[in-house]
Amino acid sequence: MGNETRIDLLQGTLDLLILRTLQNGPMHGWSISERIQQISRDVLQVNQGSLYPAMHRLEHQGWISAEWGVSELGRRARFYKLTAKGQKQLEAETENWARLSDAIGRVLKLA
Amino acid sequence: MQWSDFVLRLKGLLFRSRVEGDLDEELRFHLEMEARKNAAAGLDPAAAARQARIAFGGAEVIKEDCRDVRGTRWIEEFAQDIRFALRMLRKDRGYTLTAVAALAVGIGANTSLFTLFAALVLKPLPIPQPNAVVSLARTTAKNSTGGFFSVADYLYYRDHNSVFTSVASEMPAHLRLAGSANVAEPVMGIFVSANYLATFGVHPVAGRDFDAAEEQRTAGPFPALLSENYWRRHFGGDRAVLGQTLMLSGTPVTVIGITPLDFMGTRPDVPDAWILSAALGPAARRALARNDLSCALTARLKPGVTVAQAQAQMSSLAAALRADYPEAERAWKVQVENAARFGPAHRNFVGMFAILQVAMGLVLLIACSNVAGLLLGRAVVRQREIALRLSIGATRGRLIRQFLAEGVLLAVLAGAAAFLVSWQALSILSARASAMMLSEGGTIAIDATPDLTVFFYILAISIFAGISFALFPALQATRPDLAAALKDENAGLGIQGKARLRGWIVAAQVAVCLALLIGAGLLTSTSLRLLAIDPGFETDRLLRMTVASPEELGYSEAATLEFERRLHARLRAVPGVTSVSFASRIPLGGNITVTRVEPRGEANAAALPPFPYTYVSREYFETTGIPLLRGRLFTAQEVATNAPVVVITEALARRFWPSGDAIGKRIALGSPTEVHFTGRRAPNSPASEIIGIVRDSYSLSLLAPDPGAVYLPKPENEWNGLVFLRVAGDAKRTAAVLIREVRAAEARLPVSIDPMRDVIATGEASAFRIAALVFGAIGLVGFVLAAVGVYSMAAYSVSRQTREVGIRMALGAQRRDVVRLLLAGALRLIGGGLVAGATLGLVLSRVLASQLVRPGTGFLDPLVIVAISVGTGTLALLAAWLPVRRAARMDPALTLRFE
Repeated sequence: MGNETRIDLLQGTLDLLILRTLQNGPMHGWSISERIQQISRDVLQVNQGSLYPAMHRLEHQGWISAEWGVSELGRRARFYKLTAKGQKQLEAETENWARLSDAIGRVLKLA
Repeated sequence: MQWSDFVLRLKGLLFRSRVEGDLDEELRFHLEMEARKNAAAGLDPAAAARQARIAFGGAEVIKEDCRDVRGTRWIEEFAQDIRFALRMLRKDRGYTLTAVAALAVGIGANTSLFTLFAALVLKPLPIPQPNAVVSLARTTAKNSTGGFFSVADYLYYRDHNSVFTSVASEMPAHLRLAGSANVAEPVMGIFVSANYLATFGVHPVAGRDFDAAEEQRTAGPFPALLSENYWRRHFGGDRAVLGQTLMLSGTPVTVIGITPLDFMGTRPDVPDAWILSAALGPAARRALARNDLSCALTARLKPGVTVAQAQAQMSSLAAALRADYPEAERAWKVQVENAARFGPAHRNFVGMFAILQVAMGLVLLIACSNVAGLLLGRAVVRQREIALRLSIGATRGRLIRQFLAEGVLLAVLAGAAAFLVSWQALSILSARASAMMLSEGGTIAIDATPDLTVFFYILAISIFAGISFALFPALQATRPDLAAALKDENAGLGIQGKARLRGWIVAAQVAVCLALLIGAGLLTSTSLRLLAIDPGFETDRLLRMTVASPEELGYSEAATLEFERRLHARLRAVPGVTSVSFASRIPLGGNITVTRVEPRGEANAAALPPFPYTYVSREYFETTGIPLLRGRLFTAQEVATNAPVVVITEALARRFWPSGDAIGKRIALGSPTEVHFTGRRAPNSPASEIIGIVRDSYSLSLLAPDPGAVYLPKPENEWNGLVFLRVAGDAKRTAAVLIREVRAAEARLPVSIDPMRDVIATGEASAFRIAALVFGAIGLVGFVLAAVGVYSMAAYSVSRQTREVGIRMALGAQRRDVVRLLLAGALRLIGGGLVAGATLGLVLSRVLASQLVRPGTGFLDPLVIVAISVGTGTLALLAAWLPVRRAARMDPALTLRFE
């Protein structure tokens, strides 16, 4: 695999990606990481070592909730779901991100 | 904190295995999915699974991180640490027992003392608004701790102040109560003003309080209250006693009420009875005796008045009184003090408690340092294990926490043991406290159940001790050179430093326990020396007998005197009795009567201190063996006519007439206004002739001979229950016969008889004995702990040098050389400890001496100090020698294979 093209995630952005991914509906951990990888066209490689602790942290914050369900292949899996509080958090963080990337873009262009 | 967070944390704690299982399953699911994806990409199943695991990384690390999110890790680890510590302690039972016992003694001793202190001093009076109650003390330039007032002072302050709602006076006295049982028994009575209970805000639990009008009463029966303690003990709580008239030392009193259980005013003990002070005579007459300082005053502040305001007014009143009566008032001041917690009666304890607390603190110090030494030794033994754990990734913090858990666990175990120990010790102590507290005969009421304050005190000490003695070894042990420590446990860094530290600890222990033992030794030698002093009168063949007055049984005055004559005739006739005499007071018996003594025709006699006086019968000097030096003794004629003649001691003669002869000179005694309670006649003579001079004796204190004393002829027409008998032969058997004689004359009269030696031994010397016992006990406990310290240090250093010893012996070293080598270090430490201890002991003894004896009295005994130092040193050496001997006896071949 072409490792050289991959980018390590910025601190704190993983939370945002997880929340955004879950906006489409409940998912289990593996599909969340697959989805992020796919959509970013394999540029963003999600490290499992930080994915699971991050999801547990979000659960403790009350932004996502987890319950056991049955996966597409008929196996028991832990599904995560965005809560109302998480929805609000996602909106706030999306806006923050937009402002941040906009600001950084400007500096890079004009400075 | 988020609600969801709280719920998840709680779930993590309570259903730990389920949460862990979920995590496991979740991660396994992820791996499976990953493997499935890899297989779909064309890998064979084994390679697919392997690839998935590689991509996933360390599952354990992820789990740890997830657990961190849960935030319950420290609790789980704490539980783990405690379990581990318990396992270690169980494995090392000997070590655990020693450490727990040492700490339990240290903590227990401190707890008992503090509980006692809290019960006696810290607890406020159990009365309404205790903070409004103040005690008034009369202070002089020389005596700042406060003294009693005269009745005149009391009336003045009571009637002229505007800051107190009431001012009450009290006057303690030893009395005898003849109750329904017809046997007069000793009671602790207090003469109080009518407003006494009201001042404290206390009401009788039965009957009624005094009435102000009753203060004007001039004839008996006088009203009295009984304490509930005494009422229950002697009357079984029977209400029928209310209204009864009892004979109290010859004065009829009517019981009008019962004071609440354990109510003791500002006193250290609960009196048996409270009698209206009108029983002592009309206040106006008693007020004439401005020199009779016998009233203790307690007052209640008016609402809104502060202690400072009260003090200001009392100071100006005292100044006014000084102007009105300059002679009697001189430099006296009045001090107003809050009496809620710290009554004047309690102040004396504080110094005693301070000394004891220092001694107890030292014991705790020894105990803690001992445990630190043991932990340090164990840390060295565990060096390799610690190094191993550090090298496989344990953090230093985690290891330190584990050591701390061990220390805290030890301290908590010891604290619990100490709690039980001190609970038991306190019930014994409080029962014995009466002897230590110089009670005047009432009931000691100490609530010695350890209360919450005390409990927190123990807990604080335990935790502090645990952390302090575990922290140092923990820091030391977790800082080894890993490679070196793994290679060879003797090469670990810091071992030398640890050994040195341990040496210091042991030396300090030896020093502290030696200091305590020296203190105990000096106290013991002082008490023995005091008992060995020749007090100037016979002690072995002299019996002291006290007989209660038959007047208390209702005898008339004539019948009493008739009884006295009959009794004396009987006593004289007892075989073995060579001389019988009477006196108004017992030399060295604690009761001191003093009066003004002024030589006639001498100027500047105002600054003279009062001197002790004793009424004696003619045979007194023969009975007690006090020799007449010059002049003559009283004649029968002089006794019969109460002639103004006195016999004085040589010290007094020297003082008044340093160059001339005192015989034939005249002295003035007492004052016309001095009045005392029934049965205590005070001398009052403007010019008594000195007819004889007797040798000095110790009648006030064993620490110094009397500064001068006066003997007056005992009037024949007064009952005297204090009899001195000189016996030949077996004193014990004679004493038994004498008791039978008194019983035969009047069976209902209480009588006691003791050899003078015993009377003296229960006085001053006993205070030294009790102090010596306390210090000795503390010192011995300290010594046992220090010996354990010396032994374990020696054992440890021997075990470190075992291989060296083996090599030396294999090369032909003698056993003696080996012993010398191994003992050298211990010797240096013990020597250092002894020098420091002896120095500390000298300082401690100086403090003790300043508290207990007058300056200039021989207290420091070099022989005692040397003997105790040598004894302690020898025993400490023995403790060091035991492990050394064992090592020296080992087979060299065996020691070489020791590792």
